[in-house]
Amino acid sequence: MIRMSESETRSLDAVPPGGSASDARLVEDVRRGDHRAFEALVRRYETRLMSVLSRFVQDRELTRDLAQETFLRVFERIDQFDPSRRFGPWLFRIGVNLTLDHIRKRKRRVWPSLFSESRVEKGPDPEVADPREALDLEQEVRKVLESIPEKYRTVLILRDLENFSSSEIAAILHRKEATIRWRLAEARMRFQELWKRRQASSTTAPLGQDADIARSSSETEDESAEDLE
Amino acid sequence: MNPLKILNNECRKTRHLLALSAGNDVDAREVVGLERHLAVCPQCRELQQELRHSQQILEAVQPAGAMADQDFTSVWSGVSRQIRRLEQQPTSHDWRNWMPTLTLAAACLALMVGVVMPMRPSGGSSILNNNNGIMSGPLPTDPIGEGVRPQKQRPTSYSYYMSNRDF
Repeated sequence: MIRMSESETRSLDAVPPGGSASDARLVEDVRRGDHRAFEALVRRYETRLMSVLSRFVQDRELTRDLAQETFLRVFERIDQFDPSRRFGPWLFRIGVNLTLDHIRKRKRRVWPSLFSESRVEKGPDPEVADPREALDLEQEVRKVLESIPEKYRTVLILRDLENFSSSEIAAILHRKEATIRWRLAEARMRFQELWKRRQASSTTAPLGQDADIARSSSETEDESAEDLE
Repeated sequence: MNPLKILNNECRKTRHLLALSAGNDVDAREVVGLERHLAVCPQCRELQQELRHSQQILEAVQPAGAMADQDFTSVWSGVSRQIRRLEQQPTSHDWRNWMPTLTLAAACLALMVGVVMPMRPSGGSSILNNNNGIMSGPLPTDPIGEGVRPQKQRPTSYSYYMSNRDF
């Protein structure tokens, strides 16, 4: 892979801060009750972890809370960690899963309000300027990313925004590398298609409609293809 | 076979490779195959351009909300506080230590109940608790204890029949 060297610049196994001790050594010390060793692990990974989690949630305080919760869970489950494996992917798996669970729960809480009587469907008002025009490029990209199904979006964020390699993403998401490559390709195609539609018909078709198309198109095809891998 | 159809199948196969190549996620062997196909397929060349464009936007833009490195302050103080709180909860640890014992006790109790209960006479509280079948208590359909005959109770012995018949 050509981009492997790029991803290595922000590798999962970056050593400092926390001294030169390896992750495995620090984990052993934590198991023996050494809190300083755990502090070294936290300081070594916290910046990277919060950077990754902030791609999924747009609230800084929430990102900090999720990162804190991630490290607490790591501490509680440190005895379950297999020392023959790398610590980084294990930590990021806990963090990403925690964040995705949080997002799913929040979505579930939103559903009842969507169907409540207080919410009245309104059509677009031609006299009011389209609010999307005010959105800048960053927000546009975020909107498009949000409309991509979670399993594709997660891979896209980890690969293209956070520069993890396919093998690292496979370790974080606990999937085969072939599955990750399939999802990455699918995610990029969906992003491209949604972006093209959004640019072409920004005044006519709402993004939600595009997103529905993106979700439904070839979903079953994808599942069967992933099963084959 | 129709050459156009062969080309479409080829396009379908290379769609994913094109998406991967937009982010340089293909190896040298795959690049050779792609280039061979792109040389003869204008649709795929167009798709390649679009994918490259959207990839550039995706990689160039820092979506709103993503935190820059300098925005971070360490979470260690919060984490250490929570760890201390976690370790100062002796009740939960004591409870966990007692779990195997409590489980064993509950299992023994369940076993005792399971073994002893079937051995007890099923008619212990029945109205026909005498060996000879003579009724000694009030009838179930008799809330004030006047000895009304049960509706569907069949006589079990001659003495029962004799004691309840109407003369």
